[in-house]
Amino acid sequence: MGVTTMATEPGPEPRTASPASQRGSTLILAAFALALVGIVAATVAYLPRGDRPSALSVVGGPFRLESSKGGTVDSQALKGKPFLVFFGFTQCPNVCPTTLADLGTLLDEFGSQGGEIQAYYITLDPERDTQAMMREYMASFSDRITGLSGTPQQIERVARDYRAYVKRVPLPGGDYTLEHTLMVYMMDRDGGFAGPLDLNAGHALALKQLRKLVSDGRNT
Amino acid sequence: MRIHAVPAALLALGLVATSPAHAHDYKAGPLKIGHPWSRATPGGARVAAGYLTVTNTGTEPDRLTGGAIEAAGRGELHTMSMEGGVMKMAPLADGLAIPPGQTVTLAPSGHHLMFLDLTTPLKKGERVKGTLRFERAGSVPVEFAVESLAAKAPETRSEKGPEAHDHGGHDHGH
Repeated sequence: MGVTTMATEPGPEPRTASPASQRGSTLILAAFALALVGIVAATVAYLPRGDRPSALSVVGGPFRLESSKGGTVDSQALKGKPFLVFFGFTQCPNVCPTTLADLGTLLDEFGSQGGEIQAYYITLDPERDTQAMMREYMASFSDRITGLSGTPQQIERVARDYRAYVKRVPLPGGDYTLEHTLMVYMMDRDGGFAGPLDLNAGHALALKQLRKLVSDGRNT
Repeated sequence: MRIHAVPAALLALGLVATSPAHAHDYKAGPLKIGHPWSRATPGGARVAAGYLTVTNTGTEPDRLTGGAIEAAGRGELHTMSMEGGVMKMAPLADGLAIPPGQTVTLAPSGHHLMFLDLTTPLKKGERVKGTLRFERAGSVPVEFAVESLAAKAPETRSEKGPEAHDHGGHDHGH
């Protein structure tokens, strides 16, 4: 009885039809999202181990840049060892120096516990941050962090490979500052992205992440 | 009673620093300026940042329009925010409103003064001379306490003292 009454009422019909089709498209979207998540998960989970380059990795890539310690750093030479990468510039007043100081303390702490990992701080301001500038600047932080600079083309390429966002913001006085991705990338022994290092949840957690990165070689 | 005469005179002049060993505060008319601080700068750095609180105890609005330190060529008022892992930066061209009865905080996670063309590095433990510019209160001389390179908040602030209060409770307004 109740069902018949409901069906003959003009109102509910379009109301029931609409949510159904919405549900349908939501389901399709959800399926797409799941498929995407699946692809990414599969990429991360089934990355080849051993000597094969992690061609499927979507974040990261080879680089050869000028070191604040002199000479160059070639990512090929880092093979077999996990490392950390992050981006910034020396004329950054707030978050870059505090991140460098914080990360330096963390890496020294990790070192005192027998862990060893190198971090690379890549400038996104190659015009102002020369190798000499980086040498002077990086001396204020842990020597477990190496500053890297290069030509604008080299920097553009490494930023693109690491999917790092950077945008020049003009300042009233004629200078400029940069907006950029502020994340410490954990890279596995094959140069593949293993996730961001979380510096905001306390050093205990970050140390745990580092221990896992170093012991696994890869974050699966 | 005589002991209070000097601070009272300084207060009358509209400028006094209290408990200089720890947090330091200034008064400029109805504005109370809380603990201006900066951070030690890495080698070769050409920029530094300035942070403070401003409380407007008066009934008229004022506006912070800029600030500078002697160790830097110029200063600009900027705002920083984190959006999806990206550090965003924008100059505050119109300054920062200081509405009556409110406290405005300049802190590493939001509004701040950026000092450019730094001529001398800032060292932890120093006090550097500077000025703050307000639309109504005019130019106010202050000193910025230099904290450690890693400081994300003023360390001296946590020490006990009648002037000590937490920065965290204020509206960052971004």
